[in-house]
Amino acid sequence: MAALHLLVRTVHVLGMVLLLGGSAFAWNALRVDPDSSFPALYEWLFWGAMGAMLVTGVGNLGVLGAPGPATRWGRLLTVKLALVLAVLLGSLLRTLVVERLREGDTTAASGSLRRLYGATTLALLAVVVLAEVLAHG
Amino acid sequence: MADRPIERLLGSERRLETWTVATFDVIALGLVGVLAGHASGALGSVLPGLGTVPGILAFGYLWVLTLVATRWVLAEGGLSRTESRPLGRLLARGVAGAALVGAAFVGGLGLVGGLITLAPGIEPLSVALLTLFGAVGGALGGAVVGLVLGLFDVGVARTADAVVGRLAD
Repeated sequence: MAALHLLVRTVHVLGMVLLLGGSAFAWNALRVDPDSSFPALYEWLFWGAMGAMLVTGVGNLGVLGAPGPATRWGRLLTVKLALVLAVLLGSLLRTLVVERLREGDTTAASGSLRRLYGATTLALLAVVVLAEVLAHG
Repeated sequence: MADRPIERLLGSERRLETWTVATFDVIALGLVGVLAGHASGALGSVLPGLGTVPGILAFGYLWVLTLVATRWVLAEGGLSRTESRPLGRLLARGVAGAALVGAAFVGGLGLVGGLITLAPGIEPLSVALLTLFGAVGGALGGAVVGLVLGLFDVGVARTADAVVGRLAD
């Protein structure tokens, strides 16, 4: 069982590496080449990784034990979950914008897309910081 | 190559939209559930009883069901304003698809759970009734969730249309 829980935590950490690294890479790819096809690939990977993050995150909570909502740890968890929900909502809009732009001229919109990926990167970075505080105080 | 596994699951058109909307709906539903459970203090007592492997399998089952249903809902046209399909028809299809997902998910879990825990003293009829009532309850719950998420998905898609239109100007 310990090996399974280690695997769950590993997938959770690697999922965040893919989400955060991918969005930063997409931001830079558009900076270097406004016609880059990487953002479209990232959108596919993003949603797969988000699904894995949810199921492994809930698995982690089950193993570690969910805190009471009024404790410091519980309040931090509420903030983290709310932030993840905000990232999720923003990402739905971002993906649908990217999908629609793929059918037209993306070059003119690359500046706006870069800002979207920049905002995604910063929001995910905030999630990582909150996760570190939750794990290590 | 309509027979590729990804095309069997997501269709050959609007694959990214199908993948995105279906996955968003499953994750949003799960996340809101976790947030509500945490805020009420119930999460601490519910999670340990679920188990890691059954939880992963149940989530995967719901994900696949939602992908198939979303593919069916979007088969007549995507969420974009430029698609000619009336909004009411799109939402009705979304409610029907979500009701089927709810019925298959809750009914399926009831059937599997009933068979696993089938002890000598429990009648198979009880398992069948549990599955049936679970499927009906799941269908009703799924229809409500489908309407709420359908309205939300359409709202975000129309916002994306407006953003792209503004970028094009």
